[in-house]
Amino acid sequence: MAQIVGGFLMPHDPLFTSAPDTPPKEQRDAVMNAFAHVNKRLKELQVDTVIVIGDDHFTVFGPHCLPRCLIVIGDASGPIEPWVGLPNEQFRINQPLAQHIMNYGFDNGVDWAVSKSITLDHSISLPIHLCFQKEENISAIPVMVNAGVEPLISNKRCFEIGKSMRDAVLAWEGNERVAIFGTGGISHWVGMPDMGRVNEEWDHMVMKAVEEGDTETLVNLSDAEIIEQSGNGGLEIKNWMVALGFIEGYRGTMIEYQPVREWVTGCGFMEIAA
Amino acid sequence: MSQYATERAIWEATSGPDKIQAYLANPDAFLAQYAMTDEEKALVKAKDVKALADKHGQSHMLLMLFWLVTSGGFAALQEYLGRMNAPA
Repeated sequence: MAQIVGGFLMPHDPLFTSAPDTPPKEQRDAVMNAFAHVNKRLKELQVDTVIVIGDDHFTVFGPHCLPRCLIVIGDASGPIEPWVGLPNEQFRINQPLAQHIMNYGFDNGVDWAVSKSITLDHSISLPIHLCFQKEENISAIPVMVNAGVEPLISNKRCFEIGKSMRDAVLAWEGNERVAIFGTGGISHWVGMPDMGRVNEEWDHMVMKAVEEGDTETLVNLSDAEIIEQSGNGGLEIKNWMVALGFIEGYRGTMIEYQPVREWVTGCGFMEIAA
Repeated sequence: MSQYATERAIWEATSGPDKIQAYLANPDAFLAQYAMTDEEKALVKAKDVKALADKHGQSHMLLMLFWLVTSGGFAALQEYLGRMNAPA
């Protein structure tokens, strides 16, 4: 039987690689060391499959089609944006398990949008590149939820999708050791008048809720409150909520937090485990 | 709704080098493809990102992308923020 062996929350700020030298050295080193720490933990946990939760940034999808939740069951590469400063590479995808999660969802109340072949934006691509693209024994299953473009997915639905994926993995006959990444956030104002602001108090409130396994606090945050306190980019904690729903009885442990104004983001890294 | 047509026009103007070039080469011809009001077309051509966000409900993220691809990239970000923070 497949096993769920861990989870990680992390930012996916494209400025990490497109403008790597702009913050003070201590901050940029702390962020890159956090990504290296996640890589180390994946190897310690002997992870072979990572479900990576991200959100499109009006890049791959547009007004013609805005999937509420999407799973990649075939080929994926990324990032699609040349300016991110990473090579657009093909990712290893655990297609059998992805297809199982899709079918399990169809039978249990998750009407996935499905991609058979896609080039992803930075939200999923950057964490893959920085955490395990070089590890040939680790594959990905990219999943997108609409945390960036209205109409937004609800917090409650994100937890439910995470739980559905958990149930699907535990019902899988393979021997995979599966981890999950919830990517994005925490506070950042993308294109908004406050762009460049970081709300450390809010960021710590979110991380404290994760540390304490306080789902009620997180799920009850309104979109309006999230945007007011942490910007439109702060909505990406919805990606985190999918990961939290995947780890039943989760508690979070801080890996790193850096409020990096040059990267316009409160950068929070956490490990989550039951 | 013309709000959505405007959203699509702005998004398509940012979606790849060919579309960006088509927009920059002839904004009037590009915007004529969409069921937008004359006011919306004028605001897009003027890159009045503040009015498009505050009065026409356009996404800040999309407007920033549009601004950057039509104004020379990240070097133009501060000018974008200056406009977004200008008094109404």
